[in-house]
Amino acid sequence: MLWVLLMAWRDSRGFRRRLLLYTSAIGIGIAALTALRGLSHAMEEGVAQQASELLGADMEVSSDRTFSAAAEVMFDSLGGRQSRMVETFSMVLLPESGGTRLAEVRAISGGWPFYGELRTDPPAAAQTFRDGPNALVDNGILLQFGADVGDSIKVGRVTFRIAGRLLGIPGETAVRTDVRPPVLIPYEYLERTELVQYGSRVEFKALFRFDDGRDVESLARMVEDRLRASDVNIDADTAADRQRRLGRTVRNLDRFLGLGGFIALLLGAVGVASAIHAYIEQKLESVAILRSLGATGRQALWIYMVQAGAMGLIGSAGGAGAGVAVLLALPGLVADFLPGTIEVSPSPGTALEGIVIGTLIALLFAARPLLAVRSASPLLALRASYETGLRPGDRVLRGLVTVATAGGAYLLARLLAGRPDHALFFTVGTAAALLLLALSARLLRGSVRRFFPRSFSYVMRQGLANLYRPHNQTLLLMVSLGLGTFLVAALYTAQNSVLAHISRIGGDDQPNVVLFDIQTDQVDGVAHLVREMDMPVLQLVPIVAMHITAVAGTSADSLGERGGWALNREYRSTYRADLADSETLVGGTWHGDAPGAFVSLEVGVAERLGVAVGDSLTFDVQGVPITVAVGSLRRVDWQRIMPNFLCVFSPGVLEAAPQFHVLVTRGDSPETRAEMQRRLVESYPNVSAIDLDLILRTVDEILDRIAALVRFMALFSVATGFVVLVASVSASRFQRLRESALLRTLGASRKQVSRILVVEYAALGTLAGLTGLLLAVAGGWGLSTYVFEVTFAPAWGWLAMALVAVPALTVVVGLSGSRGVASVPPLEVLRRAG
Amino acid sequence: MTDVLDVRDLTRIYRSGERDLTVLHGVTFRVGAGTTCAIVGPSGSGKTTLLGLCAGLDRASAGTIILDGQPLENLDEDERALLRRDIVGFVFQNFQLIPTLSAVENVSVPLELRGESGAHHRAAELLDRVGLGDRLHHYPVQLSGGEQQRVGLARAFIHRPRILFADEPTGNLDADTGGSVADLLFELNRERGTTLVLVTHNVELARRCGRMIRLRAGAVVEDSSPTQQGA
Repeated sequence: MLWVLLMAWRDSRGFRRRLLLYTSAIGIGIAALTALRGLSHAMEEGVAQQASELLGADMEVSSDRTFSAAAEVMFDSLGGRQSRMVETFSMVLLPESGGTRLAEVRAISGGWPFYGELRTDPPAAAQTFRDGPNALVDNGILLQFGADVGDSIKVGRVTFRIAGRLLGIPGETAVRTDVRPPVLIPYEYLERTELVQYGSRVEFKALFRFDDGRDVESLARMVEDRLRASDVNIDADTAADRQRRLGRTVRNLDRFLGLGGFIALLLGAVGVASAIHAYIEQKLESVAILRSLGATGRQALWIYMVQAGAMGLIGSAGGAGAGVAVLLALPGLVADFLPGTIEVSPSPGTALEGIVIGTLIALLFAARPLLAVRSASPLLALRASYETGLRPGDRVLRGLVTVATAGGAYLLARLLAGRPDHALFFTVGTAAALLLLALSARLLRGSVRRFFPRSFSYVMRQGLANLYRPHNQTLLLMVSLGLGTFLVAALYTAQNSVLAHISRIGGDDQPNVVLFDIQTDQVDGVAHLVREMDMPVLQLVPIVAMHITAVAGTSADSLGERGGWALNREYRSTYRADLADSETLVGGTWHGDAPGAFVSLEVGVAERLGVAVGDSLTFDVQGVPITVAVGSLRRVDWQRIMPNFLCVFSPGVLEAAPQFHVLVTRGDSPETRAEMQRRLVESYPNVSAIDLDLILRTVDEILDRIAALVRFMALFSVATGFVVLVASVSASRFQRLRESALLRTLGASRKQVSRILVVEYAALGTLAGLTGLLLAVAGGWGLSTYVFEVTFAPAWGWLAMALVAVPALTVVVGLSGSRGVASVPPLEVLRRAG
Repeated sequence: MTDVLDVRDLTRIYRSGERDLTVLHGVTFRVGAGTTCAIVGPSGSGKTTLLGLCAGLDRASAGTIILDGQPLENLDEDERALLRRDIVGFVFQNFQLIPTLSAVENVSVPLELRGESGAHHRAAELLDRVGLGDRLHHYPVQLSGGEQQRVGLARAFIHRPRILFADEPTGNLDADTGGSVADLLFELNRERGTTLVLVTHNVELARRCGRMIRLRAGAVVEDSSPTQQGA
């Protein structure tokens, strides 16, 4: 063994720099793995450490209606420190700029948050805003309208002074505040705002801090049990509940990041396998000499296994070191998806794990090309063998190594994905992508050979012929560059499709503004205001809130699990005689104007409730029981900007019930829509508006945050792809030097030699980019159609740009790796070649 | 005198595309211990193939090779490698030094493979004997052709093999350098009492051997001592 180690060291002479380059392929993968695993641990630890801050309290009791007297009595008896909060959605107006925005208004009393703190600018504003008509306003809103601390903000009927920029709330993520930008006001001003009206979506919260160490979990369950009768939708939450939910988010994020690490590492492993393949090809003569001098196949194999293992070890150690450095920069990337701050500290365990995984993966992926060493005939020392190929026993071994490699990839995916089914999906998916790329490479290589353009210039022919000549890099580069291009472009294409879909929703004559929470006595005034702005009232829909109390004569309480969410939710229903554009009848008969009490159910709700046409449903409408028959079932296109309903009643049933209204309109220019909303907030502050611009902006912001994460992960794949490219160019450099020396000896100019290289790398880059982009279009179509369920809309301009950028980068890297090929004196090269 | 090499009815057929190519056909001869034997013949007559088969570098399609009393067909690839390690020395036409090893390291390899101690010291001594005492740490690329072949000779003799196979040992050298390398080969062979089987085109070189086997189209057409041939 000592001799094997010695020989492994000696044999690496002259190749060490190149071997180090190969190791960086695995190193980048391990850097990704170490960083992402480290981040994952930090996230778990952060969630555990900041558990109490997640809620800002020990217990939060919430309800969608004001607490009952019984609840208030119980809260008084609980003691501890208490705080109250009311959350509702409302339009806010910034008078200085005239800007309006739908915001989540929270009226707060007491000392909440009891744990953690409101992050504000200036910091003192977190307390001082409570002392008068002051508001803390989400930084995003202030930035959007160029407003500043000291300006005013109108919330409902009250104008507040902006006491501070709200930068963070304990337990809440930046993504959440994108969707629901918060505005905090003192509780005592809530009533004066007149925001809480019939139909408003309001959440009432009581927040507690107990310093006597009582069992909060049991207390929360007790509160829910005791108040279930008096406060129907009451929910008691503890920091531990929040932590459990957040734990799931962390795990999902972890798996998402794990996918990035897996792909980067696998790509690195493919790079190592390719590099070892190229390396061993050059070493076969040395192997044959050793074998002819009496070294056994096993000894020869061990020499190169030791080298591959050392490569893996060095690459992984370097990667782990780099990963730790990257780890320190990572929290910023995921911070938007997690509440609180994440403290990362390099963990020796994670680094060690990366080193072990990297070494094993390098060995596993190197094993298959290394089998050539075992099979190398000593006869090669005398002459190129007439017969080459594997020994019969090695065929079995090769099969076993292939199975072990696939098994290793699966185990790695299992470690990173956490779940066996996800791991299998990762492994099979990546293998399929690799196989498709490899197949495309073979196809393209074969096509170039078969349909070789003989009429092309000498330089073009030479460059293209290099694609299929012995020792070509076509397969290797197609796989590594193609995979990187595919990943980045597929995700970008899917993102573009989602945004295009949302833009289209508001296209042409489609509605693009929805006004809601309109009280019955405000209907005429709001409709008039809209028309004044030359905007049509496309729909004016009454809405009635209700609960289901019985299904087909059986009371909801005795249905047990049946019905689930469909049974427990609050329904906001309407009544009308006509079927809407967004609805399709799929069962029964539409009630129209027919006499009788009917309800038309959305098909999913009907399935969940287990009811069919003809069954009866009893609703509680503000304390009045109403029993109706299911007259029809509808499928609903929820993506249209218009009020859609799970339950539509026939006329004559709900007219007398308390109700509010939704108005649907269309404004052609953003300015008109903004002006309409500004006037609306001034005259009807309780009425809220959803504007297509707002949806687009919000979705865009969230997708941008996700895209930053995806780009970060793809960066590892692309970086690995380019390292593999450099390694591959370097592996074949000597052969290129020899070929170029021969060409130059025969009269080719340096310019011609360089051009041949440019043609070869441009062709390779174009083919790799094209294949990657074609696969990305297919993948993006799959993601858009089946995951996001939107019409596929690739960004052709961006794809075309990528098609130029990938070959350009390939040429630059290829040429820089081939430096000297056109300039080293031919004699020097030919002497070295012997 | 015992035979070190016993070749009986040896045939080697290679598959070339769709055709079978018979490179050797029914070759039979024996080589006694301590003797020297040259295998000559025109290009493509099967000389190198025969040498490779005799050294166990390849497997025969038919026939038997007994090397130092061991039938090669009974040995697997690794057992044949061990036999080579113990009793066979090799000199190649294109030197076949391992490019990443210095001269002294190249020469040490056979001893190191046998696990013998003092390999480096003995290799240095032998390199000194072949006139390369001042080139121990040079790499093959830093040596001339003649110097590389001297290193090759030292490597072939370092472990005192029972039999030495030499494939055109002067084929890549000019006449003067080839002559001095050949002198060295025969000197070392004499000093160490090694059996020598030499493949060559060079009639002068072949004549320095005690016996000459002539191949044509894969078959032995003549087996005589050079003096008989010359007579």
